[in-house]
Amino acid sequence: MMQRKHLILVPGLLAAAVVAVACRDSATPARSVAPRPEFWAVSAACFRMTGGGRIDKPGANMGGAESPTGKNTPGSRDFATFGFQARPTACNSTSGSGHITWVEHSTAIFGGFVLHGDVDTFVKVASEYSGKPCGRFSGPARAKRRDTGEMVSVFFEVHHACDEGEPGVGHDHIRMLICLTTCDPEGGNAVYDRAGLLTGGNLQYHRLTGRGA
Amino acid sequence: MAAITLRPPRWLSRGVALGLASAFTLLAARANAQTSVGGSAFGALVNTAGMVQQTPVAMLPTSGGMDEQSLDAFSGSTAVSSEWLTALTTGAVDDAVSSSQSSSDLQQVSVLGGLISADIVTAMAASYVSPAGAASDAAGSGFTNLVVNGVPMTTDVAPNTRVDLPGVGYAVLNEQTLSGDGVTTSGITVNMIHVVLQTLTGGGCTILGCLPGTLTTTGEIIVGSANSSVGS
Repeated sequence: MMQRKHLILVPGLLAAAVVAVACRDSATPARSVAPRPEFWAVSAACFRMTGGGRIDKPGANMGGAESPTGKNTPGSRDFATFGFQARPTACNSTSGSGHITWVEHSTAIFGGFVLHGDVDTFVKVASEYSGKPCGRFSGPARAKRRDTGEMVSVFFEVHHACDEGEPGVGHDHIRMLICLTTCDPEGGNAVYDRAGLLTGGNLQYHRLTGRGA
Repeated sequence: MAAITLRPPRWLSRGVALGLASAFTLLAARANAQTSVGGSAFGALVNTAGMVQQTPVAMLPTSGGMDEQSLDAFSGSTAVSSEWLTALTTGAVDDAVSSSQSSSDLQQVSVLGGLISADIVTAMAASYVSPAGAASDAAGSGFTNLVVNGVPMTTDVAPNTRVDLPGVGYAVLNEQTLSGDGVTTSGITVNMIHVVLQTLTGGGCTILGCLPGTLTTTGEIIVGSANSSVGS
């Protein structure tokens, strides 16, 4: 009797494994998929990234979860727009260069603000969903609040900027952290944390070649 | 028996090496020249009575990079007032995928004394080209709390929506213009609010009947513009 129970369980487990693998590798990341262990591994990079776009709905994203939902309704201010270029200073160097502009439109989050950051570190992490290489970069920044006009010196970390293919909308994903001191790698000290699938724009991975490498 | 080795003269070897190096350099330069990226964005453009005012403007170099320009407030004209204007463009040329993306954001927008208003106007344009083809889109473009002629627009505005503005002209909302062949080139320009100013000249009625007047375009206002393009 016990032996028969095991025989019934094995095909069930196999089916569950197949479904899990299929979900993990689908073009549009599924929300319920647990991150791969190697996602947290950091290594030096030999690529650069450019990108610009929009992510919506911070309520669903706080804590780093990425919502596959689309653009907000026309009455909502809950979104951010951004543009950046970032790269390591040389292949396999963890120091970086580049710039980022991040615009938070929600007045409920520090009154809304625009941040200008300078990249000084750039490393590689793996996409939580596809395993593809993603950029993680950070540095000092200046944020200007829109409600008070106050300029604040902060630090930012793009925890990951992942190019999952073309077009970027609905595929590429990014997570932005802002901290009062240098950000912990996983954003434990972040005062701002917004992540999501792109609802506009594109993130692009570029391999470093030739003199740029 | 002594072996005979035929060696070309040293000057000839150097010449061949130089020739090959030059050929590779030319080929590499040609490959890079075949793809370029373009991008631009601006907050507002007012073109009335021969005076053109456009600000802030971000322009992407054809080889790629990033440009960002911003302005806390724009109220230099009665035609448009706005706060927190940001124009952004980024892009890169690459053998695998070349891409360009631009955006323009404005808050507290008022056009023609409130005839058109919005809390936020966002224009977004993205283009890419790869060996598989080229494409562009305006995803992410939109309005927050848009009001036109006193009427709130509670749903997303479809691309190229025309609205008449009596006594003023007309407006095209979420104006999208595509370009390129979709194979090796592609581009898109998004103007979120494009007002065409018109005046009626001539025409009128007598006891013999009425003659129609002629609508003449006298200027234009564009708020929230983003452009991206890729290809040769």
